[in-house]
Amino acid sequence: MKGPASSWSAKLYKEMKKAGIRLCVSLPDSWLSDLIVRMEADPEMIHVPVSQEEEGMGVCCGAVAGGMRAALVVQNVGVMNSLGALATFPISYGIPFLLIISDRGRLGDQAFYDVEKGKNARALLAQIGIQHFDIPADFHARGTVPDAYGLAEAAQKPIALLITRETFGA
Amino acid sequence: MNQRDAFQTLAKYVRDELVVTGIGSQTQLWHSVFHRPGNFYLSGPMGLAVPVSLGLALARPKDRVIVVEGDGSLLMNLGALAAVAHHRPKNLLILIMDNECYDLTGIQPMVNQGRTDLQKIAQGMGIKETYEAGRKADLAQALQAAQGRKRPAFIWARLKPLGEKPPPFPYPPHETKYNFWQHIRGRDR
Repeated sequence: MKGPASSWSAKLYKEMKKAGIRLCVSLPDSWLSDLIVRMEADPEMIHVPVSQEEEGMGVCCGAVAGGMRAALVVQNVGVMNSLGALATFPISYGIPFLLIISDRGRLGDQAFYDVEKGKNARALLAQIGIQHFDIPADFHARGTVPDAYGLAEAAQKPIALLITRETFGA
Repeated sequence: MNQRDAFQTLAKYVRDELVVTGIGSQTQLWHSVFHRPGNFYLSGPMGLAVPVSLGLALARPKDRVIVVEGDGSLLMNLGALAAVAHHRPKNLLILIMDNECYDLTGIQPMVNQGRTDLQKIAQGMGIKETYEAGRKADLAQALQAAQGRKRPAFIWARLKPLGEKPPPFPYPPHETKYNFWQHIRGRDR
């Protein structure tokens, strides 16, 4: 785990633990690979790899219902894939957890397959009533992740934190 | 054995387990047969009962968790069985109610009608402890056998048509959550 990616993801992972997150569900994205390695390697973390984002959202809701803080770590297309489930379960029931999302398809991304994700994901989150915040470069100093979990619990709703190029200083 | 018979058989077996029910007739019938504080009823999201039960079982390793899901819902998120097989929570029992149709919405045939062996699917996903139950006695036996296991179990209950409209489920989602969370907090005190 070397290079800039390991530096910011190490800090982000530390902040996730500081927020009390003890179960992480993941589906890979290249921006998330180092974070996922850390989840898997940590004996204090329950890491649940899944094959579909909606399924992961269900696992998070079950963990939270059982009294454990949880995060779903996926690419922004995962939100688009899970809209119905997000609306009819954690929004409808009021179940707080964090969505930690790599926000692909924004300025700086050049891949054609990411364009629609970057164009739509934020608007869709807002449309179904999920507040979302960019993770700033100094998130570790600001306490962004624990703050976001606090807000999720106050709202009794999921909160989305978006990993952008600014997050890791690219 | 129809779905109500299966739930009545399950009710005789349940003690202090947390029971998660999938949307529609699973929630409606289980509520009418055995309403209790340890039930977590899903009434919105289709296909999520197994993933929810996995999260619950992992978060609460000292509690036994039973999930009751329909065949249509299971097929919606089959990958969840692979996640169960990966984590092998020994406190999780999956009970699939297979009537080969969408009974609640007018008995439309399921895509699996007469062809799909859900027990073999579970085995293929890596779940080793599996049972098939076509009669009440089979189900009672499977529930009993699964009790002392050291790994997750899967029961494929093969059902006849229900022949009745299940009573409606009365609680809105926030109330369902609140009741279950209060129960969980009470266990943790």
